[in-house]
Amino acid sequence: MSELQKKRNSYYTDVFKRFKRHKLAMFGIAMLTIIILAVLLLPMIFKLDPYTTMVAPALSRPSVKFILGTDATGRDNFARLLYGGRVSLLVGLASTFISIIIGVPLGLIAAYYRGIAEIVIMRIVDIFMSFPSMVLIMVLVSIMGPSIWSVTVVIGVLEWTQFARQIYGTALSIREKEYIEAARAVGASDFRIITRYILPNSIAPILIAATFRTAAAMLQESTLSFLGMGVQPPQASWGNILYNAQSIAILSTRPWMWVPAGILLILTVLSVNFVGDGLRDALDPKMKV
Amino acid sequence: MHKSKIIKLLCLFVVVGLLAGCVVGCGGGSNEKATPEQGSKTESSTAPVKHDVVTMVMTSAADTLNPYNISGNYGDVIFDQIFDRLVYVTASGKVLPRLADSWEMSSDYKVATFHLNKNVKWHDGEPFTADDVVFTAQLITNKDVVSNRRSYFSSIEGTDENGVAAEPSKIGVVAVDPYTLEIHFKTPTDINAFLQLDSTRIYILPKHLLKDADPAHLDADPYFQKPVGTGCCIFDKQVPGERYELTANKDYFLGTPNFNKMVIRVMDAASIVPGLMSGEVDLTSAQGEVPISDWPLLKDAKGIVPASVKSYGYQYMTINCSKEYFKDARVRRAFSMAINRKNIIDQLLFGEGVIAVGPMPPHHPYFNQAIAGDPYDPEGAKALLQEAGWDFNRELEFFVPTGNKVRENSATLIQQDLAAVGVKTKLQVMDFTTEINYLRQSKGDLGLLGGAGSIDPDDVRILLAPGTNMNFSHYDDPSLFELATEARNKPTFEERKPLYDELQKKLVEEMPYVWLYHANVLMAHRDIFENIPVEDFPNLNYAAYSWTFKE
Repeated sequence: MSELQKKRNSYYTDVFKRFKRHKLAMFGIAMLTIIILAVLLLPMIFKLDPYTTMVAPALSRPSVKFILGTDATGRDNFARLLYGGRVSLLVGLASTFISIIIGVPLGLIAAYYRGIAEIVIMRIVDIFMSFPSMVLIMVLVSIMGPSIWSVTVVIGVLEWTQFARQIYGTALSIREKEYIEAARAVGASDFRIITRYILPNSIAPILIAATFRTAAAMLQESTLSFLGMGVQPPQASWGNILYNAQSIAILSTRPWMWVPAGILLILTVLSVNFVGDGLRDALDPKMKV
Repeated sequence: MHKSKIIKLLCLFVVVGLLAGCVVGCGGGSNEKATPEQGSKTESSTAPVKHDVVTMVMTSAADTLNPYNISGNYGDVIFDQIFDRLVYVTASGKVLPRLADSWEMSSDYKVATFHLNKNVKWHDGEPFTADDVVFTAQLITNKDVVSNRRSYFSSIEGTDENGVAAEPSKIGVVAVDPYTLEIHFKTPTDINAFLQLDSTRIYILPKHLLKDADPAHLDADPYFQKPVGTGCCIFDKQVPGERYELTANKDYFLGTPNFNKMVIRVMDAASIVPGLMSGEVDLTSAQGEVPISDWPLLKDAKGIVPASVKSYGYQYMTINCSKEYFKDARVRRAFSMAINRKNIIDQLLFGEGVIAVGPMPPHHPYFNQAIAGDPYDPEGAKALLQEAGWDFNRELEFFVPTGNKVRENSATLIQQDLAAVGVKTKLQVMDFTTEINYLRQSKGDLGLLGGAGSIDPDDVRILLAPGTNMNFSHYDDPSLFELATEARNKPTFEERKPLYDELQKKLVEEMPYVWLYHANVLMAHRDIFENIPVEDFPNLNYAAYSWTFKE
């Protein structure tokens, strides 16, 4: 192994070691693994069906066959919980992905080229950041018609600004480093410099921000669905399970209808946040993000 | 450990603790907030107890305070307090005097004469006379006025079937003298049809305040910001979308109300029972019912009186008959046969309702006992669809309005029932006003709606009138409408019943709307009322002036 490779390997093993020391992050990883495996595999193992109504009388109590009972139209609550988890996780991850795809290139271009590009892009960032995002998301979703895709796209398209700003800041400082000047002297193209030199060195804060964004996006989807503006029936999401529990009778006499979804949402969001904390500490303990 | 980690752990414990607290602590708990004031003690021991503020609830704000241009019935809760109509129709169909003391029909059943109460005053002190009724009729039937609620005038001479008059000054509403009113009908009419149905939406507006209003921009007239009526409450102010505040009309001609103020609050359905339990809300309205999911809680709730009221209301599914593939009645019948209505009654309504054969429920005086609705027959439905050449790849757009949880959930069940016979649908949930607009614009394929119904069977006629904005199915075959009009124009029950029997039979054969169920209206009020005619609420009648309170 070359010296360089050994150095790179030992950097990542260091990162991994530091991450392992972060107890809450390990707890988060464990929790997320369990939740993700559960929502992906359990429905197939137990052949769960969240869509068919009247599998048992409406609003049945938990039983051996349906461990979380049924909802107001007789659908299996446990199946809806797991499928709902898929939706909530999917919206969280996919919308974050969209935000990264938009924000990172814009931030890199603004930082590298400076000048007009920087002025225009950073002012666009300012404009987007001046809107109260939740309100704008609600308006756009109701115009586009609420659905899992409109929610994903709208959240993704409105929350890219933090990624752009983050990578802009990091890239600005990297840009001044000597190895960048060296690369330019050797004749590397702009594209190559940005993608091969600047991007890998500025990706760490993006990764961390991505975890927090995922958690926030999941909460945003839940808020929208709780208000009736997100994922629509018959699709389930943790938010719209909570929406259907808006009734004092269900809240007070049927806790199995809403407590599991609420707890899973909290656990998932917390776990993702813990992982983000762990990553932040592991990648650079001295970094202020 | 880092401080942020400690904080995050603390948050976790706090949240879990809160959840646990919620589960343990929730349930029951009624703190009575409002206490009725004692009226001044006079020698008479029957001095009515005066209550200070009565709070009623409805689940949606009225989109306008113009009673002739609202969508839906939310505004009617307010209008019944601030306006008067000619008569008061009770749940049993008995017609009681209101603005009119008495009335009689001419022997040719074409002219109804109303003798008006001489003590009625507008809230600004001006006397009410027959001229106000004439003015209201002439104003609203004016074609320049934008109104979606004037078909109720369409039985009056000089109007067309939409209630529009070519020459409003010539319509058949005549003030013989200040307190005698004549209504001339186009054809011989059963006066009960006019009284029990049409007149229930004819709120009398003041001539002296609106005579200079521009008909083309009536809605924009400042009068409708703070309407003045003759009713038992005076409109005070509104907080848009949140509440309407009214004060009692001490000079009301049928008696001073036993409260000082009425507040009509707009709350979402989930907050109604908590509101009753905490004392924030005193009573429900027909436009703010107890949600079925909370209904079982009221059985054991202290201090709350539940009342399950049979109504003439009906819930139905619209089918966009302007689309080619819905023109075949076999397709519509198949849809009807595919739907398991009993499931909806048992699972969604917990038995608080009955299956709908047509728009009239079994307790309706005109109900046709001889017909049966379509049985639940998915196999038969599939066969019928195949026979009619239905394209099973087609996906239909199915509009579902919010505001009625049972109706929203019924959409899911109906979607599954249709899927079971091979019909694909896509649900689109939207607010009620948007759905009405979409249906009127002939968008989509299926929709869910409800009718308030009436003890008069003519209620369904406007749904069948080709080319009008209440024909949500765009059903353009005029024969049903003509039959309904003929039935309406017969002057006695005995002559109308056979025609309505025929109409109900045809409504099942043709199925322009898929009749679904009649839900009981679930009312409740706090135990502060001595006398309150809850059973009249579904008829848009609240008789607030007659409410009496306990100590």
